[in-house]
Amino acid sequence: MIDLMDVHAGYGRIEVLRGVSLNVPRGTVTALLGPNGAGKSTLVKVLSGQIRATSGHVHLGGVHVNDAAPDELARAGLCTIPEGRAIFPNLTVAENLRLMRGDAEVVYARFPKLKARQKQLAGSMSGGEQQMLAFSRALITDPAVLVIDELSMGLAPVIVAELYEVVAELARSGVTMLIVEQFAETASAVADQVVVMTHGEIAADGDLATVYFGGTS
Amino acid sequence: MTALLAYTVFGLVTGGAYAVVAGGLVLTYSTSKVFNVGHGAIGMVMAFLYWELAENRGLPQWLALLLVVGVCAPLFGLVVERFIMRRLAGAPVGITLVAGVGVLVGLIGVAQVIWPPMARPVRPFLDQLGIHIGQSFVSGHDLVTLVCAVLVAGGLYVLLNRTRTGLAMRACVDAPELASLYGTRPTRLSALSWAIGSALAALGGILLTPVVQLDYVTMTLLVITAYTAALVGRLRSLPWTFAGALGLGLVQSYAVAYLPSSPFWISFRAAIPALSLFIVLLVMPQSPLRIGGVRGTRGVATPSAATTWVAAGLFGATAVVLALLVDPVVAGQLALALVFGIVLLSMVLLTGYGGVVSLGQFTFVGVGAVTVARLGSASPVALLIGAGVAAAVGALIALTALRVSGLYLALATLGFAQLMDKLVLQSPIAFGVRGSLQVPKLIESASGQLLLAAGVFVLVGAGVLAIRRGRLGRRMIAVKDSSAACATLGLNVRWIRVWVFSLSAAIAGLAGGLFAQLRETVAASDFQLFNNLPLLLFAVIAGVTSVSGALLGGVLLMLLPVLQSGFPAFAGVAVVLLGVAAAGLARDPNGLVSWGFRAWSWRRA
Amino acid sequence: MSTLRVEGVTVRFGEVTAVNDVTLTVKPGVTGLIGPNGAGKTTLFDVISGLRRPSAGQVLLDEEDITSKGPHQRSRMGVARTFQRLEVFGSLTVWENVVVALESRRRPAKLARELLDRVGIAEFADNQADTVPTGAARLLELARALATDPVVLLLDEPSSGLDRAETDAFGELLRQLSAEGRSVVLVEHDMDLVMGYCDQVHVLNLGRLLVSGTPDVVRADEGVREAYLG
Repeated sequence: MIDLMDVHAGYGRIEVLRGVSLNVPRGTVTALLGPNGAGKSTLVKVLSGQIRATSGHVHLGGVHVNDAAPDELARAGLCTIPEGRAIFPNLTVAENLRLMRGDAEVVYARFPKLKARQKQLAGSMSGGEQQMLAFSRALITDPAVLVIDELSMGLAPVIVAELYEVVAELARSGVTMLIVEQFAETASAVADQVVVMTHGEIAADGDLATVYFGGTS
Repeated sequence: MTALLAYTVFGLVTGGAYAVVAGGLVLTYSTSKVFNVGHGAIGMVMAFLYWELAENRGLPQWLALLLVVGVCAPLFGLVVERFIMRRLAGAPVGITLVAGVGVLVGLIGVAQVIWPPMARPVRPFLDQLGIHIGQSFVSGHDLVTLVCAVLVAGGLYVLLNRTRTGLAMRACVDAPELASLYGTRPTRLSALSWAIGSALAALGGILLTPVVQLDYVTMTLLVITAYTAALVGRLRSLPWTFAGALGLGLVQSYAVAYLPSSPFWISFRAAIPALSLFIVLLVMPQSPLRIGGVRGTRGVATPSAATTWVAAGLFGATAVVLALLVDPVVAGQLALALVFGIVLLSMVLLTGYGGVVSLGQFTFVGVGAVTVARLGSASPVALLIGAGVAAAVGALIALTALRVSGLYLALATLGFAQLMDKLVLQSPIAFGVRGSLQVPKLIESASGQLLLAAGVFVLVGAGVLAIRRGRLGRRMIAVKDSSAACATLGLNVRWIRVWVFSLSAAIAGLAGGLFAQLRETVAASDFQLFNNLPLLLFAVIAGVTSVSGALLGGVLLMLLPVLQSGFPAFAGVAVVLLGVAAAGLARDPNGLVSWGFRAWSWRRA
Repeated sequence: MSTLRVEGVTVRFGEVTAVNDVTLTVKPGVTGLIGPNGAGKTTLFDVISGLRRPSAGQVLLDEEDITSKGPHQRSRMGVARTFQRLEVFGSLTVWENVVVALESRRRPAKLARELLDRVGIAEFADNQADTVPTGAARLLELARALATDPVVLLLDEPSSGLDRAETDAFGELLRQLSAEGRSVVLVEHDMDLVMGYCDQVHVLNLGRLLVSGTPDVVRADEGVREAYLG
């Protein structure tokens, strides 16, 4: 479903992705792990159309999408939740949900905390609530492909667990997913395939302990 | 008491019209992130068009209004967005500003071509209607204005809060990248906001015609009033913008009522929008140092000291040969071109190297000229004093605007230019009651003037290049690229900016002194606010990053009026072309001369 | 020999607390500051370098409270930093970038070549800085920071974008800087570097200080393993 072939990309003349190939089969979940600066977020931006690959091919569902704009991809069924708090801070919770073009009640049923805060500005909520709101888009837009960048970043373990419960549900319902994370275990638990990235390349051996705790222990 | 009521009503009416204009400005800016300096000019042209339809062609008022506000203005907004602004998406503030100034100047040209200067009375709306409140009278037009303001406020509220499109617009303001990930089409929203923005500019302009008269400049400068109001809402909040607009209208109205009517206070009234602009800027919170990402611009290569001296020698020799060969009239024109060239050198320093767009650079020329004229001498000392006074004024504006940067700073320079224009340059303080002053020449002969101007141009040009190669030049560029990094390396970012501003103003002031003694008679009309804008455009078209660009720009600036008087039919068209060229070339501030450099290096390679 | 102390620093953005009551001391040598993304490391650097005022707490340099001083004043007192999202002067050459920093401290411009040599990017000296690879740009920021002759040096992910050999050379440089008596604070995700070169490591998670100690202590800590591996 997601197919990257020898993709190079970067910012200006600075190359971040140095020939990345990755395949996520339809209906499966891939966890992409790796340290900061490895190029994970750049890869997400290439997939979502925010950065154009300088060479290589990007296919979504068999369609060549190297030149597609982010909004075109989004309307075609790609749901990207970028890192950070991917919400509109100066809109209310209800307005944020209205923008997602889905049934807000589905979200409120799943995250009752948001219902209580629906008239509040999204930016005034706690980090965890903001991330729930951002993640709601995966829940109500019925995406064909879901790409999530650092869902657990800066969140307390309880909230991470709550969010990943929903990720697992979506995985069971057959949504194709690419989950980009630093937290290894949470993401790996729901993944059919774990891929490790370092220095702009897919690492040959995906030994996480080496990546996170050094090889010299 | 009755008077107070009458003036309050009058203030609210004017403020209501301002609010309509300012609302459009905020909508466009917040959705497309391009500040439309030409917003007032759009209103101006559309008001002329309304006059054409309603007064000249005799269409019913309502039909003319509908055609202009509902059809022509939105279409024009769409065209500007599609062919100019969309190409500039994500460009630095300086570039979008220049494009906006290009639109502004082009529109003035268009208006001048189609509607040559003459009195054009416009009938107010519903002039047979009107109501008495106590002893004061509220005319039908006033009522229409108030109703329009309320309708616009309500309409914008409903659009932004009750419709999907409006919601998407607000989302775009918040986080444009994220909005596109949500599937909203940023270009469509930006086009819509330009269409609505233009319509509101047109409506505001038409409503104001009975108050401000149909005139190219006054209505174009409504952008300053609208900007001041928008600043109250930090260029985002519509309710605060409306409050700011009403406040401005009231202050102006009360000023008419309660300030003495001596000449000074009359010009003071006209300066109220610009003054308020500075007050709002002063109370605005400090903009934080931006962090995030590498920025760099590619200028033309800086020549080495040796190359500079060779070029200076060649240039000097050419000037001597020309001084010997050409007749006095041409020599005088060439001297003028070089004086303009010196003005443009001040912009090379400020805009080309420092990255600060100044919309008020010609005002410093005026300060230098007035100083020299007032001193009644054009001795080198007097010229330096002129430069010094301009530098002091430049430092003052930099200190006032220190807290802000980018767009806010550039618009502060426009506000400053208007303030100086109203309070000093166009008032008897500067050029006396007759509006002009005599200045003795430093050198009598025209060829001598050419050599003088050439000498100063070489010195200033070499000086600008030496600054670029030296410590201050590196610092200026460092501040432009990353002020956060500069601060953490121990540099006081604000003082560097003050330095650059004053230095640049000094060069402009020096040019002003030279200009004054070259012309022998200088008048208030030489330094009108509007001369600032072609100056910026020529700087960008010719190349604002190099000394050669300044030279070429100076020649072009000198040629413009020559061409215009030679071919009167061409006068307005030239202005239109200037605007269009600038809007088109804004992307590359290295300008026309860099094409020459590129061709040269290609041939050498 | 200088000691930097951060005392009870809290930074709030609206209701979100990015740094929560953090107290730590940085002594001469290499100090690691690690933790997952969003833990508040860069925000803490912003507070120490003066680019951001903390909502509460103090920053002290040799027991002098510098919380209210601006970034340029702190630089003159010997605090220097690099940026995670690069902040090189893109319109200037690599050499000029370093010269700006040298001149800011009234040091001779001829030191620039030495500094570029020292960090290993002399080959790029005449290139415009926005055209060099990320790794070189990071080293340029390091050279520029060193040009101010700092006593406290804050490095924000200096090794990302470096290859293996460059990373090893960088580690060697860290040893030298430490030997010169400077206090280096390292925000880093390359654990080989952190565990191999740091004398002391502080772990931040969710804005709070989780553990402080030697690399071995940190490596063995259950809480740290949990923060990273879930």
